[in-house]
Amino acid sequence: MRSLAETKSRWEETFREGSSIAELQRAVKFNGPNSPCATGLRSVCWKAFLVWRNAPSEQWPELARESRAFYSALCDQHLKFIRHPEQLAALTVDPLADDPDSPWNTVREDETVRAEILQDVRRLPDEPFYHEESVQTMILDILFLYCKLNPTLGGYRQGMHELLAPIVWVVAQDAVDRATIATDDSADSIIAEILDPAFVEHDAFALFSKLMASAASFYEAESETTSDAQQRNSFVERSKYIHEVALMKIDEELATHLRNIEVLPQIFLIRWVRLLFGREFEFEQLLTLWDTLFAYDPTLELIDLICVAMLLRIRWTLLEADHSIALQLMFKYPAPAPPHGPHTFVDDAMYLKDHFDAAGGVTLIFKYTGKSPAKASVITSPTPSRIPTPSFQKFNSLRQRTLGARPPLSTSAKILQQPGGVEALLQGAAKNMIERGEKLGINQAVRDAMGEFRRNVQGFQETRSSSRSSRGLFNETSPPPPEHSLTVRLMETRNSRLAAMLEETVTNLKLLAASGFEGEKEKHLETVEVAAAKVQFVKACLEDASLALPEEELPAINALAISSPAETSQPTVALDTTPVVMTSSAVEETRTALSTPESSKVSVASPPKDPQIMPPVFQADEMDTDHHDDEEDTLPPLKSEITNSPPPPPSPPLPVAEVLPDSPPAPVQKHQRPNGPIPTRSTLAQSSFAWMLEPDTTVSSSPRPHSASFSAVRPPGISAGGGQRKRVNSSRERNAFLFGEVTTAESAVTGDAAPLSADHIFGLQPIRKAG
Amino acid sequence: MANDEYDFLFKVVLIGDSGVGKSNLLSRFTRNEFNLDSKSTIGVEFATRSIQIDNKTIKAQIWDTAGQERYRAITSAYYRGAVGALLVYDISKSLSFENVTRWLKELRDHADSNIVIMLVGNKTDQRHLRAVPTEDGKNFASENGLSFIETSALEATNVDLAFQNILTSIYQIVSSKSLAEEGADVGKKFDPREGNNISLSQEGGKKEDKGPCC
Repeated sequence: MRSLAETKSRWEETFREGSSIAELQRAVKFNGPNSPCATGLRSVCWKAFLVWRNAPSEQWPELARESRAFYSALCDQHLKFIRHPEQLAALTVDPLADDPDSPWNTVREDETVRAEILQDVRRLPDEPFYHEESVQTMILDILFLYCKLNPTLGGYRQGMHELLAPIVWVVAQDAVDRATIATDDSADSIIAEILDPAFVEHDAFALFSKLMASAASFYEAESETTSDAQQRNSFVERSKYIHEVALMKIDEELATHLRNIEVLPQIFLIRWVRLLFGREFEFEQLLTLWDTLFAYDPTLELIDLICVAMLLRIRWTLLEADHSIALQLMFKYPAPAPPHGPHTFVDDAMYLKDHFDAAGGVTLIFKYTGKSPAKASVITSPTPSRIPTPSFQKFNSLRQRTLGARPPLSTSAKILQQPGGVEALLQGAAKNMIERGEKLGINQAVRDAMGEFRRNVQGFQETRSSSRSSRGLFNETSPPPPEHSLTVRLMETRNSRLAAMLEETVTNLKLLAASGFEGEKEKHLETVEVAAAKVQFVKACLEDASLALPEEELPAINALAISSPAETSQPTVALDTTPVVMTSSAVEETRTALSTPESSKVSVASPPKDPQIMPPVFQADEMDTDHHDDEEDTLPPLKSEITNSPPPPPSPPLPVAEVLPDSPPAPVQKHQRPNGPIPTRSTLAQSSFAWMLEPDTTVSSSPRPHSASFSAVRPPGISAGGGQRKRVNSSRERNAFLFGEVTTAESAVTGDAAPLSADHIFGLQPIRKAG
Repeated sequence: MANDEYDFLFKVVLIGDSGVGKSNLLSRFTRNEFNLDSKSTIGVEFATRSIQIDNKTIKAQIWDTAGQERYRAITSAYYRGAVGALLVYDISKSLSFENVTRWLKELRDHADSNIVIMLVGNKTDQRHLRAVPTEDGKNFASENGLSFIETSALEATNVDLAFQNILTSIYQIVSSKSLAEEGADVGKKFDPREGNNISLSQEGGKKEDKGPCC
């Protein structure tokens, strides 16, 4: 309960960005800790999302009055004798009459139901508020009346109490202390009426009823008949859908693994879903999750995909887990790492709804773990998951030859062998950037832009892949062709151009950071948007070496070189020294990674004569220049997508003397050394935007990114040494002992071949099947 | 999970009316904890503990379900693979004892017919509220071919014993069955290369930390 003064300021805070559903939605999603649910009045937001929906705010008091009157009538009807047993005694009805409609009989039945409910209400979580006597009675009454009102649902089901309790808590929190209300102030009357402490119970009932309108299906009672009915049980069906349809489509590898280790999804999903994840996360985090959920999905259609998103977040651990460990993970879901609290699962679910395929899954897995499933990469064309070392040795020795003697590159070789390394680095940087953007409330735009971009790339690659003939120069079987030195040079050129693109992005972001995000939000948004698109583009280029680069980037390199105060006189590219200084910062690693084997395919798939086919898409700042029109024919889908994207932002300010206009690309053969010198890496690492390079988000900070990030997601209780896997396997074999099991050859051992005689069970009779 | 080495893994389920103390029996046995205000179980919980029987490490995977879950969504998944069941009632609530019959029927319908069942009268600490005499429980158990014990999860009375007894029963059944197989039917029915279950399961290697886990 709060004072009126505080409530007023919270009221204003709640509607600072407007009182329409859409405005509240946006505020909840993008304002982070300043969400109207956190700094304003959560109960009002929830009522708006669940109960009032599109009703204008002027109608709220009236709507509140109606629903309160409805609840009061319910109470009068069903709680009369329970609250006032003396009135029952005063009736002229024989308490022992055999009439099933006798009020005595009804009361007796009701008391049974209430006892069942009360047993759970008494066992609510530890929150002291829940255990106040008045609150317990309130929760009991609401649940009881809900069941009375919905007799077809099969009565009270365990779990409903834990959906209701947080609602009651939220409504009670926001109630206005009546003592602080001046009676004559009509301006405050709306606030005082909406948040009247006398109607906490009524309003909680209204919210709970609306929520249950969608959640009731999670609790659906089942006919108590044959075991066949079990198969048709709606919750089992839902679990099957989540596992065998949704997850199978989004992350087939994980879905298959869960099936192989015989984890039946309903075992853990039933609690996740029925409580709307109430037992999986901390209370405050849960409320934030519900905020987002109610805001965007009041009918709870995203629940299935939220479950999928939760599975994706721990998929690497799950893939290593056997039956027991997997179940333990599900029953004790590891708390999501801070920047991506549980509410982000709702964001993920919304994303998956629009990207209901493996590509969507890959994106999310990537986003949170920095690793990409090897098999399932759909955006990227399939690349060999393991590229033989000999190729790299050749590659490295070539580099050494051309660059002079260098120490052996033991650690770099390891990084080079991680196919996901580069993307992970970029993804990490992009992720950080997006998180910053989140705080500014601009992530939606960025996300939309990235989503569009992703579709663009996909479409583009699909059209290209048909014409693509041979891929995989360093294929596992085929030896490198004789022209490999040219290949490497081409690749290096390409890499440095990609690096230059990042350079520009980095500079822009640096400027943005330097500006302290002051000034127009719009402009910053555009800058971030463009940056995200560019990073994405570089990622795509690294994933698919056949993507040609836009030549416009070359001037950018030069421009940067000119402008950079840290420019060195060495004409050699920064790339060349990277392996030696790898550990100093993530930037170096990015550079190093830019020369991964992925790029080495460039010469095969993208011969030098090809530079005209370039995706101009991502250069949003140059999008409206003339020369792109020439390419419209070659890239129609991309072009059309561009026009749908946010208006082309102006070219972000560069600390540049002058950008060289459209310098024609030099013939590729001459690109033995990359054209533009690049500022030394130390400048980048020490710059004010070094936050983008936070080591903990880039798996590359360890020489073995895979193991590093894996151990990070592993819950502490479950981690084990290298022998874990083997033991996991052996324990699987032991499962063969369970004699309820009917699998494979072991079943013959346990059940069929030598059925237990009754004597074996302590001389007890085996149970006979009924009927 | 310090303990991943075991010779046998037995799945044991806890069943019985809501509020009879199933979850506290589980936590008392696996973690030696008792919580008077433990939350109601939604769906399923599980925990494991390994014990020693006959120099073998038995890992008990104990499943706990909501008492209200009878006939419900997860029934078949819950009983799948279970080799033992603790059918729990509350000695201070006669209704929970009356419902034991219904739970037995559910076991017949859904569980393996060889499942080992132990009837458990819990909450013996509620002496002054006892509604079900010990004799009634005993009689019902012998009539239905169940073993029987009374426990108090709160006072930690007989909890370990209950689990040890049922796990021992299961172990004896499994090992005697394995012996019979080795003696008689192996050559006829099994591919020797597959080996028999015993040798497969006994190569568990060194055992460590048999204490409560999870």
